[in-house]
Amino acid sequence: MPPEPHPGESDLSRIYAAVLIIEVFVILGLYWLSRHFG
Amino acid sequence: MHWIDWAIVITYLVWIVWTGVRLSRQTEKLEGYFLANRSLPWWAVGLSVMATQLSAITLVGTTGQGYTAGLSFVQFYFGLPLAMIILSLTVVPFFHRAKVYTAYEYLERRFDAKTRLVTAILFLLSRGMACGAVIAAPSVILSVIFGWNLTLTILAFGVPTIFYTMKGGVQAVTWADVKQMFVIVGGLLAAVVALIMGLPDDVSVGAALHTAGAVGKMQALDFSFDISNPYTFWSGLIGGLFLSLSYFGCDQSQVQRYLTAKSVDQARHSLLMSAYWKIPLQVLVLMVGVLMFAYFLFAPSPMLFKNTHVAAVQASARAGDYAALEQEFAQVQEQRKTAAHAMAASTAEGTAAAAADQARASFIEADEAVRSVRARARALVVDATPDKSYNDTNYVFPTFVTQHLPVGLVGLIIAAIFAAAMSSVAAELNSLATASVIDIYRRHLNKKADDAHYVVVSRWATLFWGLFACFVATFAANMGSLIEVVNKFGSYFYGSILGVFILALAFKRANGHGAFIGLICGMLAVGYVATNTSTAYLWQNVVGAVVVTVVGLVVSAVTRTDERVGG
Repeated sequence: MPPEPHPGESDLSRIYAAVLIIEVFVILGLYWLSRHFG
Repeated sequence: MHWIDWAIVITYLVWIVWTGVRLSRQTEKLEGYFLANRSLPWWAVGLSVMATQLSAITLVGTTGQGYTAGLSFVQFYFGLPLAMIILSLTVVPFFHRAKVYTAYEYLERRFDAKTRLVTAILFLLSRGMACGAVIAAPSVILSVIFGWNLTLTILAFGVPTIFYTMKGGVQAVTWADVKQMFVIVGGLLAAVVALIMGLPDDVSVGAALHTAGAVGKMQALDFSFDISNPYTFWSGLIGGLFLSLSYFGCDQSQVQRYLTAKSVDQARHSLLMSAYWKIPLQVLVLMVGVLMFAYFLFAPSPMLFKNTHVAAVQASARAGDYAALEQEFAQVQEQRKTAAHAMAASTAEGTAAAAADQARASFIEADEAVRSVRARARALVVDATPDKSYNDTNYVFPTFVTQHLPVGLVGLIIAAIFAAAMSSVAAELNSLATASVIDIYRRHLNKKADDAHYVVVSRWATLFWGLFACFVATFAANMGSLIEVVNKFGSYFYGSILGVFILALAFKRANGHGAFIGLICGMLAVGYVATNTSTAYLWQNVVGAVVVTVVGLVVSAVTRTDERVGG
């Protein structure tokens, strides 16, 4: 888990999770491209 | 080049220099000149981070990579999003709260002056040389393609970049980067549209991609665990993670981008922009290469793409052999074109599976014949010229642009190549000047001058590094392997410097002696691995970081005991 944000800083843990989820989707998309056109 | 294309390139150059000079504010103080008074919005910093990383050689080299090897190169970037999250949680807040100008300044606060000095000098040496290579690579390519004078081409890249970087400091660099990023993406999208429109009427985009995919161009993922291959899922995820941590977390040319952000949150968002967009952008660049492959299935392509070498062979005693190969190439290329049409037609719905398989097999066989003739032509070049490492991957995209695109688009894409080179060089010059002034001049040579003096020195330092880069570029251009040497030289300590930062940030018990000796051992270990094993360079970053961390912790523990005994 990310550390607690300092005063005046936002909690970006949802954005970090979104980055990871999007990367998984991008890799799955590349996998689909490889399978579909390969 | 047509005068309209010249006009587009010159307009681009004037526009970028004008942007850089016009949008620079309050650069009379050192913090304004080097850090934009920590006032820039996240989106501008984020685009600057991406533009800095995307150099001209990435643009022309990666499209060429897509043409020859397909999408597999994208795996190189799989570790990047994870690295951005780790950096957002670690170095970004540390650097911002410490109010440092350079990453190496932080190391003196955490360890000692010698660790700061050594890492700053390593950065200056490697980045100064690499900056020359960044200018040399596109200069050589454009001078070969257009027959331009090489020195003038180097100066065309170097002089405007030096001018606006000297004048406006980091603000000029960042705002020019923002516009350059739009030029680069605009150029790439225009190339994609032109390639799709250039396909024959009876070949759809889907059919073209199926045809390219039949010979592996759409194969993006390789899950084998082979540490000698940099383009596998695991090399990209693990080796790429360490490379990205090192590049974005410890290299001043990137660190300085996000030190200009308004706040820690804004700096984090600027890095996360790359986390979202870097892989899709690389897919776009590689897809240009794949589409070029599909385009050249139906349009005549040269047997080899580097016309200086072709001319050298044609002027040699092997000219007859080359002419015979060209005849054979024309024949096999025509056979492949017929097979590609048949394969594309077979992808239509309703085609019998057996007929589709037959068309696919015929196309694969025809493509193999084309590749075989090309391989023999390359061997002939190696045999008949002094260049023993002939490779024309970087010449595919510029050849396509200049010989197959309409007037106007040529100018736009040449402007995009200029934008890619200038954005990287400007950021590097600015960061080289920052490390020279902050870590060397102000720290060791003249500690008590006022800001106005340091800004003047910074402008001279920018000029010095710009001229140095152009000078290196002139030599690098004539010694092809030097570019490789410079890149290898950099990879020797990229991971090792990351190890020093891991010690600084993650281990409270690590001390200056441990960091310093660890750094030396890390570089020696990487040097050994690079010269005595076939380990791919992405993994060398892992080796460097791990050795520095382990040796640094051991030495720190031993020296701490000594201090206790002595004390």
